[in-house]
Order: sequence, then structure tokens, then C-alpha cells
Amino acid sequence: MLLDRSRTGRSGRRDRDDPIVNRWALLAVPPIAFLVAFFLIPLIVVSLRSVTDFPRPAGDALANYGRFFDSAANVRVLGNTFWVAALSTVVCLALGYPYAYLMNIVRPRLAGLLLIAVLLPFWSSLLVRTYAWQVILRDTGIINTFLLDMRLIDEPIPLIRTTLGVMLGMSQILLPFMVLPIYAVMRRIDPEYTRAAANLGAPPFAAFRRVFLPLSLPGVLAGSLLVFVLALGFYITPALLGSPKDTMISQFIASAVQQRLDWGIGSTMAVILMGLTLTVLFVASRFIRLRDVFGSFEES
Amino acid sequence: MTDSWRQPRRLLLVALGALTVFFLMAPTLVVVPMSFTASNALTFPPEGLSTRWYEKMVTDPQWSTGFLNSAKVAFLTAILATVLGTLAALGTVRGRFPGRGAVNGLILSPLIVPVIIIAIGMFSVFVRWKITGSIVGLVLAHTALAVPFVVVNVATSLRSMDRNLEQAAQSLGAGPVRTFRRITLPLILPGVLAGGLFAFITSWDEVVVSIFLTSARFRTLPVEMWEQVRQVVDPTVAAVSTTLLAVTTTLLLLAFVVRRQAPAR
Amino acid sequence: MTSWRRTFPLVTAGLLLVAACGGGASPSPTSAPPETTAPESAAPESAAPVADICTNPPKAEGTTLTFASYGGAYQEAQRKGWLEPYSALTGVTFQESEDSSNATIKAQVEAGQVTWDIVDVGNDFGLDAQADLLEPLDYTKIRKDEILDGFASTYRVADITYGVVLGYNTEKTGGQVPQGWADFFDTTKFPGKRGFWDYSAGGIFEFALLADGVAPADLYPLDLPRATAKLDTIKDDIVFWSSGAESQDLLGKGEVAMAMIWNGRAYSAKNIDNNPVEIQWNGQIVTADYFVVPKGTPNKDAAMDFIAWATCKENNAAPSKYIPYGPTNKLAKADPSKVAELSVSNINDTTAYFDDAWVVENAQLLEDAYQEWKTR
Repeated sequence: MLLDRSRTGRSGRRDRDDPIVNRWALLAVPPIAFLVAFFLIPLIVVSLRSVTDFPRPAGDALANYGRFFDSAANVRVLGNTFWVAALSTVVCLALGYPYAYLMNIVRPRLAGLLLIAVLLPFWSSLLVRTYAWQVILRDTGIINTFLLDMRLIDEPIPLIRTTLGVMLGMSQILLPFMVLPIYAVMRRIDPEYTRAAANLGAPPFAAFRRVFLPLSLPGVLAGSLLVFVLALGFYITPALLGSPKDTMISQFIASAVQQRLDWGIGSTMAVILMGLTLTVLFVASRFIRLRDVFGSFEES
Repeated sequence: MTDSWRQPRRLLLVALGALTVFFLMAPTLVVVPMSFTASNALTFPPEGLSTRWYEKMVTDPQWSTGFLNSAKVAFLTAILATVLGTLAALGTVRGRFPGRGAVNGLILSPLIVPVIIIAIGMFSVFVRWKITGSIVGLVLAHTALAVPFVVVNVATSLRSMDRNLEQAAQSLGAGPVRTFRRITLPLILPGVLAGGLFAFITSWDEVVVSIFLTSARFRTLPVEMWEQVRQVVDPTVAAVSTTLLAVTTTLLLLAFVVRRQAPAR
Repeated sequence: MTSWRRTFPLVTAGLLLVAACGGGASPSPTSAPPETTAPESAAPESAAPVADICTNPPKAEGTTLTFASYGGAYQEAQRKGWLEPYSALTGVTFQESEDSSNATIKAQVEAGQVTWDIVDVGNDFGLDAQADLLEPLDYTKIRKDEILDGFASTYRVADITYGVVLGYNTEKTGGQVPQGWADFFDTTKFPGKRGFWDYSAGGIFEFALLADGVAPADLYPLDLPRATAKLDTIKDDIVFWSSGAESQDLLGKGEVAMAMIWNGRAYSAKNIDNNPVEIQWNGQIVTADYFVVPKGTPNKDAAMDFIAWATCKENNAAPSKYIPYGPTNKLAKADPSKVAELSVSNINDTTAYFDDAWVVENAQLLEDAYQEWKTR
């Protein structure tokens, strides 16, 4: 019964003129119901709390949004969030593009190893990796202890609680999201194109710049978008490695809800962050296919 | 295509690649030797060699129950997410219905919605349903986060599978259920298993949602670690990190091996 | 009720007034100069209505109480000093949580799923602002007159006193002794980083103002622009900590030369971890942790019995055997080995007190100013 389409085969499908709903679709009902109940409803409740949950009686449903934008700190942290996300994207692109290119030109076996080098950390605990950075970057951490022992410095150099620290931690975690989509696109580029350009007399670098680079741009866009959007929501890494100047909006959301019990402002910030994430995705979707972005997970 | 220009550039590329591999792997691996230190402080290279921090991890009830809780939650999450994810993949890849794009978006959105929003949302709802601080709430939450990974893996297997085999089975008289069990399921099984392993890892490493949904009485290993990591008191956290890494890496390699078995690939 | 509305005798210079209390029925308590100041309203030694609860608390076999506090050496001291003896006396078994948090109380009460019976909270909680979340305490059992003035009110009673102090790492200060918060803010005289609790209402503004020359009695209402301007002078040298253990580690290992730290943590850094840490008592803020009972707990009566017992003069000082946190019962005697280490033993004319009511009332203002400054 479930396989009605297969049973009737191609001819059956034509006869029935493409049913709007087939029986396979029924299988999707339980998982959809599950996600609606335990994922979508929580998100809707958060959105509602931003217009219903006030520390003091407020006549205006948008009072929390007013409160949010009244505070210079909130607006600044929002700006920070964008800045840190943009910076991570640039760092990841600078490291990720050459890496993907290398994967594309080496022998398949080596490419496989390079892929594993990306995927192993991709799947290992974010908390563990951030902890490791902490151990390395602290004032009494590996780098500073080494430099002090070598008498290269007298005072520990500031590594942890700096923008540099956040950048190291975040780009290490986000790099796979840049490499995978770029590599996926590069693999699809026919090597004949660059070869043809070279045969027509283009100097090798020009062949790369004029032919290969433009063809790989969809991957670059997909990777950058993915990294940027994921970076917007970072919480653990900036909390452990960053300075107050690198505070990101997720940290504010957590502290509003956990420390100050202010669900109104916490959920307002959540809605704003969500709105920004969706806006970025929407704007980007006009230039690239979102499927390229999500498709990158299939490579993993 | 002479090598004269190319050699230095390629060398640079290789050097950059090696550096990136180092950047990706080395910082994390540094905790492994450090966890075997004999001293009370985290130092590199470690002073002396001992497994005392592992002993502490195993004997300290906070860590050991955290370990067991994590394993339980991840196991149940893997099962539930695999079932739901496989259904979702079959439904969305083979099914046709209006709004399929929206459903695909819903299924993948846990990957893209900032996790802190998911965390406070689930907390706020689960508190009302009285399932915070319990294994039930955490398994449900982790399942929602893990389903996309199962769907992606199973969908890949489904798309690359040869449907003529199903038709052949049916033309030989097999019913739809039998066809599914004897033909379809074995063909997509590598994707299903890999998806299950990824679901396990997702839950095993998850921390932000867990921070909100656990209580002192029911804590997972990453949450316990989050509590301790800001205090960096002794190398036990390094031992715990190594344990988390070891489990994840083993399962991940297993997932790769399983996926290799996929006949379609 | 209105008899609670009184000002306290000005014995030490560091004194603050009781803020006007909101609503006639429930007072807004504030901190006040404790024990050593020998307040005039000494408690009657004689017949109290529940005279025997202190020595002979009601048996309650089969009752399980959940006690939530802040974990670590602190909770261990409470366990050894109170929970274990109380279990032995009454048969009550305790289940413990080590992650007391105001957010959790709120969540439990709002969800109607209260699993904590007795919660140890900080000085920023348990006031009238939280009336919806807490059970009024049973002062027919708890001997309010024996508790330090201002440390017992409708919804909370202090269980221990402690000090938020200036701790310094002697290796980092190179033999010099910082004399107070002015030296803390002087990074020329005392190079090195400074540790502050990452919390707007934890004392950071108060200390900045003290350093800037504000007298302890004139702290409130806090002059926030002045405080943040003072904080700006050392902003790049500040390391924020978010847990007691973290402050102990930062100061002990010398990642910071000085830190705002709870006196018990400074004590542990020195005596347990054997690190070169000392306390400068000048400019300390004397404050307390409080017992509260979340609204709707099924074990309300048993919780009240325990709280009454633990705040009796016979029992209240028991944890001071294990940790240098002082009693709140005026008649309780702290453990002799710790007396010198107690916050209340080191009160002088530079000592300050939180105005909890003002702080809670202005929590949003404080938080906004703090975040505005911090992320600037």
C-alpha cells in the first residue's frame, strides 16, 4: 500500500496524472508532528513571550522592543554580534578556500585524509574544543608559560579574553562549514575548462582567476552564508574566550533569562536574533540556492 | 603548465593546508596528553604520567553519573531520532504533497536556528509540561536537534538507490511491506545507521539546550563540564574532555565505515 | 508590622538606613551592622514559644526535604553543620541541589512544580519584589528577635554572614599591602590584573565609589556615572569571574593581582589551596545568604522547622567550624578557630553594607548601566 507509486510504475503515474498527495507522504506525519510539538511550539512560545511578558504592567505590546532599543548596551552587542560573525566569515574564507582548493587538486586518497581532518573536529564537542583553547590561551596557559620560560616575555601577553581568542576558537569550529560547500562545488567544476583556458594561451593564474574562481563562487557564497549565520548564534565560545567587548547577543539572552529572570527582554532578544538570521537567509536566497547551503551537510 | 611558476605556489598551498590541518586538530588534541599528567595543575608538556584524573572521574559520583546520564540520553535519542528521521526522509523524498518545501525547511531548521533560542524556548515550554530536569525532556529536545542529521543521511541513501530493484521485487510478487523490508530497508540501512550514529554524537556533545533542561539531580557530562570549565580547578576536566573525544571519534569512524558499505556509493 | 520599620543604631560608620518598605504588611529588610555591634535590642533569654525546637526538633521520620545551596566547600559546611545533625535528630532525610538559582525558583513556582523546599539564596533575593514566589516564613517557630537586626523579614531569614572583600596575591603585590579600594584601582602602584564578579548587583559599583572617596554611609543611591567613570580607569585590566571557584583560582594562581572576592573563597585559596592570598578587610561589604521557601512546596511545615532549628543560637554557628562564614543569630558563638577570619569580626569604620531594597528596586537600572559600561 505504501508503495503504490512503485507498484503502478511509470505508466500508472501518468494515468493518474500526478496525485497531489501520495501515500509516502503519510510517513512524514509523525516526524512533522514531533518537530511541531517539541521544536516549533517552543519557538512560537518564545515569540509570544516577547509581547506578553513584562516585568511591570505595560500597556504597549511592543514595550519590550522599546526597552531593547533604549539600552545602548543591547544595540552595541547586536552590532558586536554582526562584527564578530563577519570577521569569522572572513577568517574562515581565507583559510577555507585554499584548503578546499588543495583538496580538489591532490590525489583522491590524500583528499580523503584532508576531508577527515575537517570532519573529525567538526563532529567533536564544541565545549571540549573551546576548553582546549582556554588551556592554550590563558595567562598561565601553554603559550604564555612557554614564552615566559623561554624568557621571551616578562608579562603574559593577552590571548584569552580578546577578540583574537574568540576568532581562533570560532573559526576553528566554523571552518568545516566553509570548506565543505566550497569543496563540493569545486569537485563539480570540469577540469577541462581550466585546461582549455590554458591551451588557449591563458597564463595559469589567469586561467584560475578567470575560469576556476568564478565557477567556484557559488560554493564560496554558500560557505560564507553558512558560517555567518551560524556565527550569529554562538554562545559558549565567546563566553569562555572573549572579552566583554566581544559579547554576543546569545550571551545576553542567556543572562537575561538565567540571572535576571527577565523573560520579556530575553525572548525579545531571541526574536530579534531569529529575525536577523532569517533576514540574512532570505536576502542570501535571492542570490544563491539555499539548497546548496543545506546540501553541504550531505557531504559530511 | 610549466612547473617553474607552479612549484612555489603549490608549496605555499601545501604549507597553508598543513597549517590548517594543524589548526583544526592540534589545539584539541593538546588536552589528551595533559589529562595524563601526574601534577595538580594543567601543564604542557605534562609532568609525570598518571591516570589519577581518570580515576577521579570514574570515582567521583558527579562525573560518573554524568557519564551514565549522557550515555542513556544519547542512546535513547539515537533510537528515537533514527525512527523519526527515517520516516521523515521516506516521506519527503518519495512523498508528494503540497508544502513539501516548508516541511523540508522545518526539518532542517534545528541546524540553523541559534541554539540559545531553541534552549530558552524548550525550557519555557517543557517547564509547563513538567519534563525539565528529567531524561524525558532531554531526549525529546535532543531528538529534535538530531533528526536533521538522520534525514540528510537517509535521504542521500534513498536518492542514490536503484528503484528498479523494488520494482523487480514487486513484479516477482512481493507485497509493498515485504518489498520495503527485504529490498528498500537493506539498501538504505547504511544511511540509517550512520544517521543514528550522528544522532548519538549530537546528543552526546550537546551542551546549551542541556544547560537549560537539566537540574543538579540530572546532569549530563557536557553540562557538568560546563559548570567546571569556568573554574579550571584540576585536570579532571581534561580527562573528561579526552573521554568525550574518544567516544565521539570512535563513533564517527564507525559511521564512516558504515557509510562506505552503502552499495549505492 | 510597622514596628519593623525602624532605623538601626549607628554604631559603626558604615551604616545604611532601612529603605522605606513597600506595603504595610511586609517590610523591606536591609543589611545592618551585625553582631559585634551589640545592638540594643538584645533578645530575651527567657521563655520563647517554641523553646524546644532548638534542642529537640520535632521527629519527622520519612520526610524528605530538598535543600538547595551553592555547592562546594560552602554547602559541605552547611551539610556537616546542619543537615547531618538535623537528620540524626529528626529522621528527616535531605536531598541536595548544588545549583541554587533565583531563576530556578521562579521557574519551579511558575510551573507549579516546586521540588526545592529550602533554598539558600543571595542578598538580592527574598524581598517583597519576590512575594509571588515565596512562602512567608513562620516566625512563631523562627526566633526573629535573636537574628541580627534587619537580617530577617517576611520571606527570608539570613543563615550565614560573609564579607565581599578585597583579596590580593602577595606574590603579585610584591610585599606591599593594598590599604583599600583606592589601591585596588591604582595600577601604577600595584601593577597586575583585577578580578571582579561579573554581576551588576554584586558590589562592583559600590567598590568603585568607595575607591573614589565616597563614604560607606553615603553609597546609596548609587552614583552610577561616577562609578563607571572610576571603573573606566582600570577597565583594560579587569578580569571578570562568574563563580566563587573561579575567583579563588584566578587569585590563587596569580592571574589577577587583586580581586573582589567572597571572604570564604579567599580563605580557601590561602588555607586549602596553599596559595599566597591575603584579605584586606578595609572597605569590605558585610552581607548574608538567606533561607527562603519557594511558594507551593508540599513540605512547608517541615521546612519551617528546619529553618527555625538552623537559626537557633545553639546551631546557627555550626558551619563556621568548616568555613569562615559567621552566624546570624546574635547569641550564637562562632567556632573559636575561625573567629578572626569572620567578616563580622573585622568590621571597622570603612565597612559598608548593601542596601538590598534599593538594589532590588533598581535592578534594571543597575543592569543597564553595567552592560552599557561593560560592552562599551
